Amino acid sequence: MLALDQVTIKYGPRTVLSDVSLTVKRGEVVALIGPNGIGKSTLVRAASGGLDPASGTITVDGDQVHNLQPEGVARKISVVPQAVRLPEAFTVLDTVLMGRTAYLGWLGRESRLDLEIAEDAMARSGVAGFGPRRLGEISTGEQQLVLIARSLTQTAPFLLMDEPTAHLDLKHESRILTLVKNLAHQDHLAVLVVLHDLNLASQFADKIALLAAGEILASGPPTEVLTTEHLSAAYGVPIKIFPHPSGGYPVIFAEEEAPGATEN
Amino acid sequence: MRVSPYLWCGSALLVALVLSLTLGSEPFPLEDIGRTLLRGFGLLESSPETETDDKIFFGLRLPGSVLMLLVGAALGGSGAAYQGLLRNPLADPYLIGVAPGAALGLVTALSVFRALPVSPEITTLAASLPVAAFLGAILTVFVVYRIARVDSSAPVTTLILAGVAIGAFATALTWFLMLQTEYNSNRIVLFMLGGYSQGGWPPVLTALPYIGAGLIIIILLARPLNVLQFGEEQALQMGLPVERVKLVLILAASLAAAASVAVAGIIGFVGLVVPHVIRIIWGPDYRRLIPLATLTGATTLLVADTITRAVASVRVLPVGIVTALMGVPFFIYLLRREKRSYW
Repeated sequence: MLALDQVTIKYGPRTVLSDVSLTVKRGEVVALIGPNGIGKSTLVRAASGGLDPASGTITVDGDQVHNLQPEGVARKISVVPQAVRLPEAFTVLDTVLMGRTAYLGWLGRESRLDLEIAEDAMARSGVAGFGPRRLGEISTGEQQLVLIARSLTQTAPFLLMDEPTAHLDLKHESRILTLVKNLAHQDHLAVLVVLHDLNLASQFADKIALLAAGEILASGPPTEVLTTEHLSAAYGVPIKIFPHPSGGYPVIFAEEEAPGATEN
Repeated sequence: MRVSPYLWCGSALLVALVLSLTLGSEPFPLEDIGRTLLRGFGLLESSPETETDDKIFFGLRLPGSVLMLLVGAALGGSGAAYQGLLRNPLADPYLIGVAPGAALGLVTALSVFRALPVSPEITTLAASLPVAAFLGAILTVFVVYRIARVDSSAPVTTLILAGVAIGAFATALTWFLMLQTEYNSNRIVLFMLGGYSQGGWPPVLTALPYIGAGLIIIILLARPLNVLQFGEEQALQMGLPVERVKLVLILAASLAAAASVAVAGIIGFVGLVVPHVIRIIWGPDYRRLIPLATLTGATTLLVADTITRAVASVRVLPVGIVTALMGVPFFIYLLRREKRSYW
């Protein structure tokens, strides 16, 4: 279990997260949602050991994350970063193999086994056969799949993803989130995924945590968290929610504000 | 058939070494070199008339070539390491303070000698200047690293900025001391243009341990350098102890670069451009890039030095001028030809 217990994170004097508690268990997808700039990425960074909390504890299977060495954290937790500029001249295979860093140490070389793990991860992520291509020659959606393959190559039980579907079209969006769901439900990984799109969270997550004003405003199954009350409070706009005609999960719209309402 | 890049670069180095040994004010034809070497190993009788030749070859020509090989290797290898470490295509072995620090060390030593009541023996002077340059370089890098350090990390941009700022400061101090002491500045100018070495085996032996150790560490850490290309945050998330790796790499690359500056002066261009040329031709994988840049740095400097000796038979021509004149056009050609991103 990955657990944040009353975690407070500060950037200098500014408090970004205060008393945040959250757990992610194996076999479930937890979506982290909330307005822009509210600290979702900060939470991911802290949970993966990149930021030390000002107070509170972050534990992975009982060990405090900030007491572990980087390779210790990386064997437990892998991170798929938010869409970033990648070094274009590296090949896909070399990139995916870098997921083995935590097991190779400073001087290690990839073995036959590492290569098999990488190839298996590429197959699961849908980029089998991409090995010799350069990162600069594939699309952003494919790059995202390569980064997922790299994370899987880390063979860590906990997977953190920061906006894995940002800038992607519908096809890649659903492809990636279906993969994420399978990783949790079939391969029994614990997945924490930051999502911008509430409807995707509603459709794919087992649990949702809503972050607003530095605190967890609500968490639980989608139907409990995705209510007009929670969402209007978090986002500051009127919200309409309908059940999905076939799936039954909540579908969310922000309502247009009435022209007279703000002018008065 | 695909020829291994190591074979290419290795053969080029061998050819450059042979050229460097043969050509010069006293030409040594290839068969003479063979005989000289055999005599050197005691496998051939030496006679009085070959003795002078042997002395020139073993006492001057061979150590001169070996020094250029060593310095070129240090510049190529550490340049590649700095570019990877700082993730900046403008990085060279001198960017974070090695060259200005070495110059300051040298000028400080000269000023101290100048201020002494008794002027030192010329041999003492010659032996202590490389040491002063080396100390100046290492101290400067240390100061830059300390300034760039925020909490427990030294971010790359801060490192570069601190390097440039401290470099400018050291350069200003260097000029100040030079103008103050009214010392014969010829030696200093030669140093700054990379035309500075004492000849014979002492500089080779002085530099070898630092350059050797530095290059071995850089070559061993090529895989972590690859991981660093994805940024420090991702590298950490993949399990790389980023700060420790960075510190070791900075130390190793700076040791090699500082030792090369100390014995040969500031030779520009090799450490900047050789790694780029290798990257354009054989890709960005540091496991291949670093050894190839090391080999090719050595080749480049040997060739430049051979040209220098051929052109400047009377006046001294610093090799640093030749490396720039020769290499920049070639680099621009490669840069223009390459369409896709190679970085």
